[in-house]
This record gives sequence, C-alpha cells and structure tokens, in this order.
Amino acid sequence: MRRLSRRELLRAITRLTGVEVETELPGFDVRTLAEGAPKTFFFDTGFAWQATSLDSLVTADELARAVAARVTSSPQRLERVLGCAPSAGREAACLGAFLDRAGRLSLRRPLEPEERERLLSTALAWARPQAGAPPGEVAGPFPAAHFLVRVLLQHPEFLSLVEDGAPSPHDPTVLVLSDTAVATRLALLLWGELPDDALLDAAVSGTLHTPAQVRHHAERMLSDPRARTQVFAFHAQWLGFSRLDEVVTADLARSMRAETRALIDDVVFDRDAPWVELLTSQRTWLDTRLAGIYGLPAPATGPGWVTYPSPDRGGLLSHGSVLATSGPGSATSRGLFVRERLLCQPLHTPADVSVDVDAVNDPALGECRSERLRAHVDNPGCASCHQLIDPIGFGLLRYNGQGAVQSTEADKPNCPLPREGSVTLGSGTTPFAGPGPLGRLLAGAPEVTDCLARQFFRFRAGKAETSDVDERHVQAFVQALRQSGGRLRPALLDTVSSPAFLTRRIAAKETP
Amino acid sequence: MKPLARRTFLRGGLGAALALPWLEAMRPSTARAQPAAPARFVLAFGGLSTHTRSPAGLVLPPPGAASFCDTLGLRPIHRLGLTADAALVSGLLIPWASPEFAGLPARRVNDFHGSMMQPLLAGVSSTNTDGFSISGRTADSVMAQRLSPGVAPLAYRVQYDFYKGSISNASISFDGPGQRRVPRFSPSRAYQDFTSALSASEDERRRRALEVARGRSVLDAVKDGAGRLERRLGAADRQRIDAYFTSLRQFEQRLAQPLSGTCGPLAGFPTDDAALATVVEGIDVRTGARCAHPDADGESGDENDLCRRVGYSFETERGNLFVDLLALAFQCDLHRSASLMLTYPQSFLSASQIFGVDEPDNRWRTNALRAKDTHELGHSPGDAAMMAYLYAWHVGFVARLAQQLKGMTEAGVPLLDRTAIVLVTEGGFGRDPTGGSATPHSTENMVAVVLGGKALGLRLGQHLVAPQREHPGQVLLAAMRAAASDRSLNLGELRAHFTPLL
Repeated sequence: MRRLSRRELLRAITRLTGVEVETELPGFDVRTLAEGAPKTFFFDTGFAWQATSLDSLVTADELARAVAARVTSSPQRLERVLGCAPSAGREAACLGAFLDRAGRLSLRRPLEPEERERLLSTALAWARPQAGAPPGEVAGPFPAAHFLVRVLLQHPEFLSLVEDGAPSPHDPTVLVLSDTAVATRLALLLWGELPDDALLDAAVSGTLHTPAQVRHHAERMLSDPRARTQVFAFHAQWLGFSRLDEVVTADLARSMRAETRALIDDVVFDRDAPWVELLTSQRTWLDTRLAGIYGLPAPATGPGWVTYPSPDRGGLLSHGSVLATSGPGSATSRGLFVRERLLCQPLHTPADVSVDVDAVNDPALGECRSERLRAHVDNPGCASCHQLIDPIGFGLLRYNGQGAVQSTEADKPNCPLPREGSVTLGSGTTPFAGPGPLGRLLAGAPEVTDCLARQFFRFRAGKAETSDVDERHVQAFVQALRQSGGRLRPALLDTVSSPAFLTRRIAAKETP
Repeated sequence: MKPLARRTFLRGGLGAALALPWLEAMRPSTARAQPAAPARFVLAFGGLSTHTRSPAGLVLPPPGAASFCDTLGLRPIHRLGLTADAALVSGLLIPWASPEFAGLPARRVNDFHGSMMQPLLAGVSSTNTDGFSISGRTADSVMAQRLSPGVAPLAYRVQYDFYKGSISNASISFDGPGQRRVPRFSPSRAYQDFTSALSASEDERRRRALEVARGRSVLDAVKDGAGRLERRLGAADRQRIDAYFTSLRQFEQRLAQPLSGTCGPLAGFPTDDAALATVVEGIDVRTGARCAHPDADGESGDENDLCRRVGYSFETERGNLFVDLLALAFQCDLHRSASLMLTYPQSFLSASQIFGVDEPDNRWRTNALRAKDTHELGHSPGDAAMMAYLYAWHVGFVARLAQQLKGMTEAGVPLLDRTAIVLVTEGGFGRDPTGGSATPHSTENMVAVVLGGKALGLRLGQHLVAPQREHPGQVLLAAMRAAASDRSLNLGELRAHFTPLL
C-alpha cells in the first residue's frame, strides 16, 4: 500500500474538485505527503520509504481545508463542483449525488450504504446554522460540501493505493487483485491519475479481471494524451530532467522540455518506433531559443523538427534537458549519470570509501580541471571507480549545461576541454566523441535495454527489485521489448495485460 | 467554568496570577482535559553578518574558554546567567547557485543582500534577491500551525523603517509564497492587540469552539474510513494502517490539547494606558525628537545630521518593549509561535546610536562613525569588534526574552524550558560568489544562537561547530522539531535537522 505521489495527488484533487492546487493554492508544500525515497531511487512512486507521520496528516488536513474553502468560495463554483444546484429542499439530493460520484472516484469503489448514510447525515448536520460560524458563512450546502470535500481528501483510501483482493486458488502466496484495485493500478501506471468512469464502471461491474479485459482498456488509455504525459514523466524522473526548473530559467526549461517531449512522443507513440531511437535520433524539435544555443539553424516557421548537420549530436543525450541536469562541467558527474541511470550500475560514493575527495581540487595539480582530474587516475583509491566514469564524461564535456558546444573551460581559454572519451560496456571499451556517438553505442548495448526494464519496474512497483519474483518481472519486460522489436508501447500493453499484472505477491508475514 | 473577562482582570491589576489561561477558558468545559504544558517557538532575525573569522573572543569563544558565552557578541547571555540555557552553533553555510553546491536544498542566488532570507527562514531555494518577498512558509508560520492551529503567529519588527528607500511592510513571517504577515512595529499598537485579545468577544469563543468541533467531526469520519479499510487489508498492510492510526491519535490529541498556561504580570511593564503612552509613544520619533527619520533620498544637505544617511527610532527601547510583550503573550498563551525581526537585512540603522557615540569616553567615538550605518560597518574587516558589539545588541533582545520566560512557570516548569528561541542572521564571513574570499557578504561560517527548550530535548550549554557545514535552517528545524515533538516535520526543502542539537 503506497501513498499517492505528489503528482498523482494534485491531479486527483483537480479531477475531484476542479481546484488547481499549484496555481490556486501556491503556498502549499504537499511534498511531504509522498516522498522519502533515497537518491538512488529516481521515482516519486517509491513506497518502501514512506512512513505515515503526524506531519503528513497535518499537511493533508491543511490541504483539504484549503481546497474545501476554494470549492465553497462562491455559489457558482460550488454548483460546478457538486454538479447540481443545492437549492433549498434539494440539498440532500444534490449532496447525495455528489457524494456518490466523488466518493466512487476518490475511493475507487462505491460507498457502502451505511458509510454513505453516515457521511451524508454529518454533512447535513453541518448545513444547519451554527453558533460561531465565521462571518459570511452561509448555512446550508456550503459547510456541508466543505465537510464532504475535507473528509474525502483526507481519507486513507484516497491518499493511498490500496491493493486488496483474494488469495489465488492455485497459489496461497499470490493475491488476485480485486477489479477496483486493477483499475487503480492501471490508471496510476498509464496515466498517473485516478481511473476514469469507463474504467471504474468496468471494475464495479466485474469486467476488469482478465488479461483481455485489461488489454481492451489499456489500448484505449494508451491512445489518450495522458499516457504521453505519463511516459514523459517516467523518462523525466529516470533521467533526472524532472528537476530542470532548478537549474535553468523557466523559459529555457520550457523549450528544453518541449524538445524532449516531442522526441519521446514521436518515437514511442507517433511512429511506435524502437525505444533505442531515443538515443540515436538524428533529428530534434527546436524553437528559436534552443536552436540559437545549440548553434543550429532554427526552423523557418516556429518550433519544428531539425536534422542535426553532424553525427556528433544525436538522441536524448544531446538534449539541453539531459545535459543541464546530468552534471554539466564535471566529467565525473556526467559519467556517473550514464553509469547509474542508463546502465543501472550504481557505484560507491566517496562517502563509502576512504579517499580524499578534495584531492582533485588541489591547485598544485594544475590550473585546468582536466589536469587535476589526473588525481582520479593516479590515486588508487579513486581510480577503481573513476576509471569507469570519468572517461565517459570526457567525451561529453564539450557540451555545457545548456547544450551549447564549448572548446575550453568557462573563463579559462587556456584550458581546452577534451573532445574524446570512452565507454566500457560488456562488449569492451570503445572511444567516442560527443553525445551522438555515445548514444549509438549505448543503443546497441543490452545493458541499456535491461536498465530500461529495471527502471520501469521500479517506477511501476514503487520499489527496487529485491527478490527473484521482482527479477522475473524485469526479465518479462525485457522479453516483451524483444518481442515487440524494441518498441515501448506494445511492451507496455503486453505487460499490463499479463496475468502477473493482475496479482501481487503476499508478503511472508501477510495473511489476507 | 464561565469564560473569563480578561479586561476585568487586566484593569484589576496584573499583580495576581490568572488561574486559567485565555484560550483554555474559552473552550467548552467538556473539552478540557489534563493540561499538558505546550511548547513555544520564536524565530528571531538580525540583518547583519557575524565576523566569525575575527579574533576569538569577539563572537566565537577562544579555545578552552570557561564559558562559551563570555565573548563580546554573546555577553548578554553570559551576564544574565543563561549560558546553560543557550547553545551557539557556528560554521553554518547557506549554499549558493554553483555547481559546487548542486543538488543541495535551500540554496540562494549569488547576489548577497536579501538572497538568503528565503532559504534561511523558509528553507526554500531563492531565485532573486528580494528578501522582502519570501516564496515559502516561514518557520514561525509552520510552528503556529503546529502548536496552535487557527492562531496566527505573533509578528513583531523592531527596526522601525528601512531608512534608505521606500520598503514598506517588511516581514520575516510568511504563510506561503507572497503571503506576508505584516508585523507590528509600533509597540503601542502591539499593546492594543494584546489587551483586545485578552478581552476577546463571545463570538470569537464560539468561533473557536465550532472550529474545534468541526475538526473533530472530520477526524471521526476519517477514522471511520480507516477502520473500514483495516478490515479489508492483509497483515503487512495492517502494519501500515496501524502506523496511520498512531498518527491519527497524535492528531486527535493535538486537537484536544487544551491551550494552557498562567497569565501573570511582567515587572515594570506599563499597564496603565497613560503610562504606556508616555513610554511607548514617546519613542515614536518620526516627527522629531533626537533623531528624525532621514530623507528618502539620503541627501538632507546637513553634514552634521546623524540621520543624514542612516536612521534610528529608539530601536533599543522598542526592542525591549516588544520582547516584554512577547513574553507576556506566551505566558498568557495568546500565541505559541512568534517572529521577532530585529533589523532589516542590509540594515541602515544608525551605528552611532547603537554604539552611543556621543557618550563620553566611548571607545568608538569617532567622527567616521557618526555618519555610518550598521551595514557599512560590516564592510571593513577592521570593524570586527564593532560588528561583534552590534551582534551583542541583537543577542541582548533574545537574552532578555529568555530571562523573562525563565522567570515564568507553567505546570511547574519554567516557560523557557518549553520555549525554543533561535536567532539567525543575514550572513557570516567567507567567500562571496560574486567576488572575494574573505568578506561579510557571504553565507559561509554563519552562526545561530539557540536559547531555551531544555525540556523539549535540545542539547544546550555548548558551542557546536557544524561538522558538515550544515545549513542554518537545519538549526531552526532542530528547534522546530523539538517544539513540535515530531521528527518528521520539515522546513521547505530542508528534510534533516542539525543533529548535535537534538
């Protein structure tokens, strides 16, 4: 059972109430509702590190109050959210209809009759005039709706992904998920938000528990724009450019995101091409700003596709989004990015080993950073790890944090930056110069496909792979990719409509 | 018990301690439970840098010093016998926008003045140098919500004006991005707030009672939902829901916690309106008195005018009155969280007034100082002793507050022991990313002073050097977590507190 991520939660609130928290309630720090994973876990879905705390409840309470206040801020807005006019004499009917609809959506199940009755009667009690009500508070539907919204937004079944079900008749260690649990799992995975009415209808009517039934809905959902947003979010978190706004200006971040989004949409959805084309594509989507930075000709009529004039560039590794967030100016950070994120080969950080991490900053080693980096090679304590990462970074160093090419260190014209680097993969060590050639090398490496499957598992499951069962899920996705000719969309479809997607393993201590 | 008429109490004299506090008396009798002494929190800010690389003894204690507070900068704490109730944390760092600090939380942009307010006070990385518009929720606001939901933090500003330009409504208290709480900077208005709060109307009593009742009603429905969910879950998930219930119970207890305390007098505080007017209004000198407000453009033409480029509106006296009111507000449990903005960032307060340059035998009696503001003092390393004295001027206010609270008890415990006071400043000494490696325009080597909170678990009576160059916001967070009794509490992007303190 994991809590909704911040992203999922905010979308869910908008679905339920129409309130856009980030723009309407910018003061709210809702991050504490779903975070806590270590830095080596890249996704906001991680549940293994979540712990319920007083702070998370306080934040949920505050947020629920604020959203409820927005909903009841005017008769027009209230009517829009309720979906009916709660005029005198129709309050119970209108609030009841809202509760049925919002309750089913937020809890992903119909309310039990007694549960519904209790909530509605309390809401109607709030509707009666109260001594001490704030000035201007109108009795009736306003406080009643306020109550219902507050309760639904703090309900544990709203804030958490509950995966209930029944033990498999064939294997007592396996829980067959309920149809409503499948609906939620599917919607959060493919859309990053709550199930829509069609999915909930199917779940409630008991027609969402066979692979074919799920596939039917998954095909529909993958054709929805929300799936594109979700696949982009997966890549943004995996490759780290979800934090683009922290390192470049808002305008530039917008341009960079548009470039990367266009390529992902094109490869994964529009052309349904092999996923590795994300690493090798020789064309990219540019606006004037980005074209100027890259030194490429801008498209004649607004943003559009441009073919790289040289093979030095190519694929996502050439994108400003990735270059800005993968440690610009540092061969080590860039190398670490490739090793940890694209090859899934985490290394010990210096905090775990006894080395002098400041050695490389010793000015006695030379004026230029590339000279000083020799310390990583000369010092045996450093070399064991850095020989796996620095050479990769050398081949990317000429591409700065905005994606422009530079030949010397910033403010040091006497310090040329290396052009060439090398990467050691299972097939051996190969030299390269620039993100284009590196992307092509990585595209041919089985380690990268394996890493894609591994990262997708983590994104989907909200945890790192820790057991043979988890490993089988990873390999199943590798197999699905292979069978689809490396195309992500059909692999996703196969995965969510596999029998494994409809079940979950019961923990050793767990009895249903 | 019938709600008490506090004005009657006030007019009857502050000599007798009040048996029940204001908010507790307003609660329905059925809601009263065993009083548990609640915690208080104070965020204090001074707009100056501390020359921590200056000779030992000015701010930081020399090695082997008998008392870490026996320095020029910390002497008010030493003199008031509060060393065991205080902690000094040095070597703190607010990182700035540089690859060197990539990925660190609560960074600032590279220009100095103002850029650190947001990361320091709200734990949120800044994107500009406008220290007067914080895009986040400041520590005092977080703590007010936590310690007394529905009761705003008390906000006082001692420095009357920026004295150079037209900045108005400067505040260190924000409920969220741009949601500024305008602090009181007139002691007489602050006193009026205090008296009217004590005589809160019946409507206010009903409003709070209804708010509490509604909060319980929501919580009951949520608990009912959690119970239904628990019945559907397996054992592993039940462990999670158990943790959820534990937190729910804490939440419920917090709702039920009575606002308690005793409300007594402060020695020497003017309780009569006429006396207050004499003391308080007499120091509002915008229209005259010793040192008038400077011209907006700083060019009055009179070279001998002390206020030609700097300003002073009896901030020393103002500060003392605000501190006394704050202590009284805590004692009467009107507020549980407060901010005390002592000076503006880049303060243009008159140095000559702070240092009393016209007094005979003053060691700093120089013509050069006459026209200087406290901001200019920091620009010369030779003025390190003056800067330490200026720091002492700031420390004096929080020390006075601590002394007041130490003399007040609640449930048999000195109020100071359940109050965490943190004084943070604008800068330290070290590198400036826009140039210079030894300058007060730096957020390296910053210090923070913590006073009180012994019963909350804060480790006091020591000088702590930040082992990992921790963020000063992490010192704030340690005090916040101690006061809230909750290690999961965060301050903006800051998720870890300064552990040597808690």
